[in-house]
Amino acid sequence: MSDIRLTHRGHRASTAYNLTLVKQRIKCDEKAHGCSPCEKKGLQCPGYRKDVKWSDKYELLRGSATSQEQSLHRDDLTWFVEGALQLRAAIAPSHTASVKTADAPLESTDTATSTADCWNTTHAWDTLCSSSAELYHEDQLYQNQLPYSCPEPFTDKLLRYYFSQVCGILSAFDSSQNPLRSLLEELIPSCPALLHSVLSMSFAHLHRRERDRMRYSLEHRTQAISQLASNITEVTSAEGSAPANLDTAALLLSSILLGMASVSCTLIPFGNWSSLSLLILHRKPDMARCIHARFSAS
Amino acid sequence: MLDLVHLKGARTLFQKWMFNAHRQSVGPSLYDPKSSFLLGVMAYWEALASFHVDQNLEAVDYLWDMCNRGTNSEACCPNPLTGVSTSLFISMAQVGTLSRQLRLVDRLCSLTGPDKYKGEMYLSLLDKAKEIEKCVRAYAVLPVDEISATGDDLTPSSHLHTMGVVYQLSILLELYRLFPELLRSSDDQINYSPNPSETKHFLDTLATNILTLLISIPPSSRTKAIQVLPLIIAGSALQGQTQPSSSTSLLPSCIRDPIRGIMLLSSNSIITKYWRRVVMDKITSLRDYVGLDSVDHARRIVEGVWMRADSMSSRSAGACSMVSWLDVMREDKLQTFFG
Repeated sequence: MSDIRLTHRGHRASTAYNLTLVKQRIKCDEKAHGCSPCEKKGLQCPGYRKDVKWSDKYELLRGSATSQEQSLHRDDLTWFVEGALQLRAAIAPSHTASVKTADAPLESTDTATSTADCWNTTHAWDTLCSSSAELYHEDQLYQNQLPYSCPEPFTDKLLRYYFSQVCGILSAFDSSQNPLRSLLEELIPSCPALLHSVLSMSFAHLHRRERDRMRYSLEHRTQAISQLASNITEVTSAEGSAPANLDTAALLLSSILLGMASVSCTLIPFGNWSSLSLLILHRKPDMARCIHARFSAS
Repeated sequence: MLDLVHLKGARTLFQKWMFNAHRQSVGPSLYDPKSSFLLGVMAYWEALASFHVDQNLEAVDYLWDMCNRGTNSEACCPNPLTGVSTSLFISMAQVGTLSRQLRLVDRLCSLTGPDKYKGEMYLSLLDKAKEIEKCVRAYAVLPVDEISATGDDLTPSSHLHTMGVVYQLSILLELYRLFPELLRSSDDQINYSPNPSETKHFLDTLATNILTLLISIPPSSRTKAIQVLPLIIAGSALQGQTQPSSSTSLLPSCIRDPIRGIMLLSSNSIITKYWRRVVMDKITSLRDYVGLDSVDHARRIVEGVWMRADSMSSRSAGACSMVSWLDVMREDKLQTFFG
């Protein structure tokens, strides 16, 4: 029975069996209160556990920004944050908008801080995730779906969905050599614009049958645009080579993913944002002018 | 204009990135896989955007600067968006730009009269078309053994090679549709100038060749991701008869003029209907694969072209002008991003 003391492991690890089962090449089905193979063999199932690994894959240590730089970044983004809040109010369902009116100032302050500080905190990824999570916070459905009020899982879910589904559909071949997989994985942690471009695309595909949820995709899109606008300004205003903290390739990919998504309505699969964007911008012409002016300046 | 904004931003960043890469004494060369990927992605996007944005004819020439720096000694790294033919996507972008310029000249012509149409503007577009045609015809798609392995069991290098040929023929088809004058022989010894009917049959034949190549790629291939544009171009060129001819013979003029008779076959109603069904089947399978209704826009564009072409054909049997898929896309509001 000593074999049985070995633990089972989760299906996602896909390789773990207890030795008894390994010898017979039978896979653990992770059934609760004892797996079926053990039951069939008349053995006492030791249960299985899922190992938790600490990953620093997305951790960013960016402690070098000075307070002056932070201030500059904030100024750069203020124009957009205000506009983004207006945009959010415009696209929110009417009942939500009315409910939110009372606490809008408080929420505005929180959002502005989290968005503007994205580049400057020592743990930018956490801030990004929190910022993303705010998008879903008011959606009762998501609150019901998530067992904890932890922001990471949904962002992770969207990223996983990109790498497991969207990337393959988008690519004319797919393997570990596909740069839309390998390069994006490398660049996303250090580039919020790229992250939000991917999240927007991923969300739009995942919830393609639910048009009323498309506003979340659009929120990621607007966040990506705001980051990009700010970064392009930095890159173009720098003499000679781009600032060391900005990866031009990552920004270029963000821009292309955003552009392809809007141009591609007919020619490639991803593109329901464009009509939505226009609808929203039509409802908020001032916002549209603001965004256009900002981009034209870039 | 939102799209143009993205385009401008990407061009700025691309040029900045090129500048950086060029300045670096140590680091990635201009032809490492990452550089090749970014060039391909940019070319792919320019190709798509060119059908939606009015721009000058030299707008995408900046990509040639880098594309021409490639060395033939290295195996080509496949690109997930352009396969192995990035330069063909740049040519496609030039064709897209040309098509929109031609539309502008047409509109000007409708306002000012036909004399202006044959004027300087049209001739400059024709010259550009000749230049692109020459470049595309001279292009040789890389042999399979010169393409690095994709690492994708569903999509071996041979599929990317076939897609290269598909794009090459699609560009030529689009060029000949826009500028039928290109089919005239400029050789003094062979004086050939096809009439409108022959031009139509030529385009039909080219379209069915493209579709045959697409069918030769297994349905499981991931190249589906880049098949939509050739499907629209080839599918919308199928503007032959769809009503059965009153003649019982399939080859009406074959005995006296076999070449013309066989060429006419491509416009036979049975054959046209068959290939149209092939296009619809391909687009339907693409929609199922992608899972988004937006792919349906391709179907609506192609069906719109066929409907108009059939309607024109039934109204005037002798008319040979072709319906443009770009007009259908614009007029049926299938490019919602321009509102």
